[in-house]
Amino acid sequence: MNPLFSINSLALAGVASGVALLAPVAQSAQDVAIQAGRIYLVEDGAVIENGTVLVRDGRIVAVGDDVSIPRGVRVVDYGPDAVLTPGLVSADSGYGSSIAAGRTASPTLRASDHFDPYSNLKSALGVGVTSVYLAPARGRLIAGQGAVIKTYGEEGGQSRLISDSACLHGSIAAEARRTPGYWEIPVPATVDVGLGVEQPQLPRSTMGAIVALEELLTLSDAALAEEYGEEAGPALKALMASKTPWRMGAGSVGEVCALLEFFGKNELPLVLDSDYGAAEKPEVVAAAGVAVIAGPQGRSGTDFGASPDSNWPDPSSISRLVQAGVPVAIVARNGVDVRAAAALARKGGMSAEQALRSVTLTPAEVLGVADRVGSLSVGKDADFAVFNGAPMQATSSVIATWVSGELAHKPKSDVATVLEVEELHLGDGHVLRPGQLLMNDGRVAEIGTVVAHPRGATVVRGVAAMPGMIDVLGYLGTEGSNGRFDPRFDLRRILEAGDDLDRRVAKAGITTVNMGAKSATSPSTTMAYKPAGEDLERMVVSPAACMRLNWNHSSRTEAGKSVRSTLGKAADYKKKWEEYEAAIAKWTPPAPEEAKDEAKDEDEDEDEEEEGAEEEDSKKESEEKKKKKKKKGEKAPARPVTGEWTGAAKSEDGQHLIRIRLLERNLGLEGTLRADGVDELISLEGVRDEYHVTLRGLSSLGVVTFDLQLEDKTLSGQATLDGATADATLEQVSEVYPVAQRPEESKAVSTPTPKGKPRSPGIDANLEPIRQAMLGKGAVVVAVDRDDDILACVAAFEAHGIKPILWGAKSAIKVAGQIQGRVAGIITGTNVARLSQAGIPIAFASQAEQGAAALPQRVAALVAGGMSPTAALRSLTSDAARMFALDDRIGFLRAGFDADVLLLDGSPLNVSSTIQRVWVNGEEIR
Amino acid sequence: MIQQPTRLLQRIAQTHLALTLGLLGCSFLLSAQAEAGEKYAVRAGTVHTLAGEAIPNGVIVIEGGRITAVGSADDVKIPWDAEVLDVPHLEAYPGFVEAHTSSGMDRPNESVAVAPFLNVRDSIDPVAFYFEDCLRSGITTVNVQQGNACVIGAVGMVVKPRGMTVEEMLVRPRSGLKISAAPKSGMSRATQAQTLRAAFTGLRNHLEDLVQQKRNGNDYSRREALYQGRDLSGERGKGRAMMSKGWTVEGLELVPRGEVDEKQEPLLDLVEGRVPAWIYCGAPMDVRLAIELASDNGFLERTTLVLDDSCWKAADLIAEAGVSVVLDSTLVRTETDPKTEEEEEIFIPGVFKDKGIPFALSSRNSSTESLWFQAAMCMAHGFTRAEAMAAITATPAKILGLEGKVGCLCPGAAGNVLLTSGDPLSVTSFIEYVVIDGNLVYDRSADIRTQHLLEGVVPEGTESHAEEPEVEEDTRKKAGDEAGDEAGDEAGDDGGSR
Repeated sequence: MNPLFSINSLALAGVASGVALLAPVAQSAQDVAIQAGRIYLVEDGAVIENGTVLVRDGRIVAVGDDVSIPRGVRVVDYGPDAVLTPGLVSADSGYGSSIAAGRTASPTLRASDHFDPYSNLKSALGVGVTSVYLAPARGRLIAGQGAVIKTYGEEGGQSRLISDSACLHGSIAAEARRTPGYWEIPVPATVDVGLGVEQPQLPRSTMGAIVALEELLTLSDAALAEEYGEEAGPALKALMASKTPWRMGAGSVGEVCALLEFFGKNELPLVLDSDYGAAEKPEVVAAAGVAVIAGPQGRSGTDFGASPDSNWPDPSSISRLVQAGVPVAIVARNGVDVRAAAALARKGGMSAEQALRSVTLTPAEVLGVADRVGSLSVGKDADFAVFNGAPMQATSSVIATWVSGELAHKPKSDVATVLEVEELHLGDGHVLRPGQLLMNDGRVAEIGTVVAHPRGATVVRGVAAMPGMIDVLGYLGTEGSNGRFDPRFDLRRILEAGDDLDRRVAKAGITTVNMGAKSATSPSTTMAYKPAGEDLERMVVSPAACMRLNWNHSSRTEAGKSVRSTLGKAADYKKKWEEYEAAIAKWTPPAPEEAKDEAKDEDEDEDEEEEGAEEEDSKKESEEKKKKKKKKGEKAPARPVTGEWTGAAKSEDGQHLIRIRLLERNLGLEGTLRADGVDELISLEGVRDEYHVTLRGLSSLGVVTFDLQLEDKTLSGQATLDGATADATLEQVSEVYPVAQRPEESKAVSTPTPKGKPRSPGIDANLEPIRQAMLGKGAVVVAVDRDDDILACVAAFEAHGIKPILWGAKSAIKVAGQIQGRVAGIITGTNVARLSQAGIPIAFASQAEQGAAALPQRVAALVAGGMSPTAALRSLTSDAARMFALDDRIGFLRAGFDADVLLLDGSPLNVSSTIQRVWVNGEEIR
Repeated sequence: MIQQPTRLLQRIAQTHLALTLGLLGCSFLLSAQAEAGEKYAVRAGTVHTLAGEAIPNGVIVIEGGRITAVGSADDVKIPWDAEVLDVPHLEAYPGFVEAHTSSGMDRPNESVAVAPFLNVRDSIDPVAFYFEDCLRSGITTVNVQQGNACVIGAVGMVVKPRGMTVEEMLVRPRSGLKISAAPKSGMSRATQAQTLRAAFTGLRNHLEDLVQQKRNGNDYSRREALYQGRDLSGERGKGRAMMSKGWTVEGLELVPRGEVDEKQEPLLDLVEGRVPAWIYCGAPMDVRLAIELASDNGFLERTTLVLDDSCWKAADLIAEAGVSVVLDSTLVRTETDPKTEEEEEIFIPGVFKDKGIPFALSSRNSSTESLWFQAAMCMAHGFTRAEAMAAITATPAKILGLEGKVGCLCPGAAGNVLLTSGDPLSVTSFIEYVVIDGNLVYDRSADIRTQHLLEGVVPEGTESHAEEPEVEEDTRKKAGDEAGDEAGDEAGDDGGSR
């Protein structure tokens, strides 16, 4: 099965090591070994599994599955999923020119003059084409001499020109029958020398073309000079002496037959350039032993003709020729993507191997360059195309193109990755079998059984995939510190991207760690971050994921005292803010002139703002809008709704993030809607009646309607999609409707704080996270163990509207029924099976630094102890994310979420499966 | 309108000896505008000869249009009868040299593809604004060549930007044949190359035919020559062996030169080395064709490439061929790496300097980004002053075969002197006077255009439109309202201009 293609590997190794001994530096940097899961040699249809191609000085020196790689040679491994083929050869292209010379036969016109050694043909490299044919011109009986060039090479180098006289390029098809008459401007044109007349030129018909060809072959140079120009005769004789093949275009089957007869009679080498004509008589073409250049689609902008005899596109015609034994070079008439053309031409039943040959070795043979390109054999040029799947499959695309042993093209590294797995676990318990996932720009772009495969996407195949796991309380990143993190300290400052320890933890599947201090005796905050993120911005999931409190105390009487007092303080603090907000809403600002001496206050506010979270911003916004409201009097008219609104639509099956852009016109509203999970931009139309806004749009899923009430900067109400209803809440984030026109920046006018303005209570970092939790926007973790404490604790928090996350909670099972629904979840390792059966979300904490890597094993042990594997999977992903209100970015595989994905060799529900590859923010962790 | 240049140029020498210059094989280079013996001297604060040290308090003596002495005022005696321009507050520089331009012609291009029989002499417009503007920016020598849209174009000529006739302006006739390696509009690169190659094959075939006719005893070409009224006496009546480094036609000496087709003859001159070639390259890939054509036909060493800014990529090829180049006016080009897509700024003259290729700068147009600006750009990118100045003086002079004749202030060179208020490469200094061949041809204090532009002075005589037309009393009354309006407009105009 695997023929030995390598040259004597012993001798090769000997030579290589000899070189290494003599001059280790001389070990050429150009030497490279390229490996791929599957290598098509094309010659004899041979295929090598897990093979290597060894390249030296731009040529192949060995290819096979047993090639011994000399020491020091650079190895490029495209992995087991990659397919390597010879660089594709396009027997036609638009890179030449269609401007023809004046004469009907102009054999001195050289396509090699179109060759620009200073430009690489990126469009060809992108589709794996490494050699292309250049046409000298089009639309003449003999347009000139064609050339073959490599699509990449040293700048300015002439070595890319493989053949400067590949063929005589001509045509007798309709395109060549519009040859204009020949007219030379007389110099000087005087009264004695007339302007002259156009000299008509052949051909006007198929007959005329054959007559002209016959004249060209038989007449003397002097006679030809009259009719075809001075140079035609001598140049043609020289080309015929060198046995240059004639590449003749023919449209109809009649033209094909005329050419076959003429060239057969004169014993001249012929290649037919005929999309459909030749396919009508495949056996005649086969008997003549003539090769055909054909494309499955016509050139754009050409019609086929309306008569019953005209040839309409028939992709199966090429298969008919191939099956009759005619060598066919498949071309793409609209470009150089010959692979796509060949894939299309398979419609008629030709095999993938035959199709591949039609875009590699056959065109190389037709163009007379098969000694250098077209197949993988020792001594030929090292031109390769590497695909991410079977080359003749539509969803495959090129991941690398090599020309003369150099990497000539690879898609941009930030292009997409597609995962194709047998089981895709979405994190919330749903599984797609089979499933595909497209990651793009660090996020999950699409999930489904078949997803888009953008060109150049890396395709990874595996058994199962799941979201990255979350360690809800770990010390990774604290670097052994025992101290407590002051809530006022911005934890982002201790982050460092690219830490090796972090990467090892991430490789174990823990893609998010909620980092906290080891000591938790007094309140402290934690930060959720991704240990293997490459840039700091996207490493941080939440800078203040939760507040940690401790209910336990060695003295029973003291237990919960500090928590209660903190909650009390937080309630006071919340009240102060409420009062402030109410006061500022009532306050009427004085006339702007008097407002100078209060600038101090404003400064103070700004300082606070720096320390505080975004809430301060929203606070200010609300201040502003309230001010406005006041200014305009009691009955303020509803504010304009033009601008951008973001929010969510909550329905039974979950929450969808939505974004609406609205533009208010005289009578109505228009705008667009984006929603996660719906990959389309939906146009909206609507009306508003003061505070009541209704919108309507049509999506591919059905009619979308919104019935919303406007209240300040919030729109809330009902949304319906195809009958299903949801509660929608939207916040205005901008008052600008983004259009192509640059929006005018609204100037932030910083007016000094006027006298009498209510003082802001300021941000208290110790209490702010609890206030957020009271508002339902944050999480509070409480360490509590005893069952009575748990009940007291839950009740204490409930009084303040908080669902706490219990930490430890060894006796929680005793009161499971009482706390179910009153807690956000429990972080514990005790009685997890029963707790999760009781409907209480569970999450797992490593309470270690690099020990986080062992979290999955600990959970596996719990599964072995009776926990449901599905619940365990949820605990490590979606439940953990939901508990900490991080379920807008992580914990699920869902379009728009961060692309934190684990690839496993078996079902994640099976404890014996292991993680093979890990992506964080769409980047693979290696 | 024609009056303006005369007024502007303030001629000192009123008499011009219109020397008839032989248009063929002209070995002397400069026409003597001033009468023999007419003397002119410049005394300047500093004389920058560009051929040695600057001379403080220097004197330049020009006799018969050429510089006879340059030196310190202590060493050089000003002849008693010389007219003296005494400007101790100014600095003297040689006039700048424009190595290649297609300006100053009434129409720079030709529709016939192969037209070597044309001569720019017939197209140069002596009163073109371009030549007036050259003086303002210090250009005193201009090589006028056909535009780049050609296959084989006209024969060009070197002129100075003053004179009322082309003959008066002439510095050197037949300064070269223009060829383009980039496709003329309507042609592809292949048809352009084919036509270029065919032009030389055609010449060869024609010459071989002539020889064959002579050997066969036919006299068709003689009859044709006589019919067309060509002169077959003297040199034109004799045959000459072909002197070419590329290819030769055996037996050409049998053919009198006058019998060679007039349309082919300039090409024969090119192949035989009697005129240089200026080959335009519109892309780096054109350079290979240009060099191939020049070396196949034996005129490579007399070839200058006129380059588009993209052609810096072919610098290695150019260096290997050993030809000089005229650079495009775009000096900085942004290139994108095809693989990394990183953008890189290329300073083009720097590339050619590093490769040791002689290069001349060229003006974008006559008034902005003229030669001095281009040289200043070079200095801004790290050239020394000497290197920057050489690219607009000595190098173009050498490329034009006028080394030591223009582009320097040394004895024997043409009396072309710029007097500047400071560094000529600075935007804050001006060219105050220009002397060409010992004639003061430009005086900024009398430059009405500059004055109008910079100081808002309305040139004398241009207000006539504002003057009320002389009309009879009664008609004036009839048109009362309109006249009133006009008067109002006038007042507005006057107010604005002052």
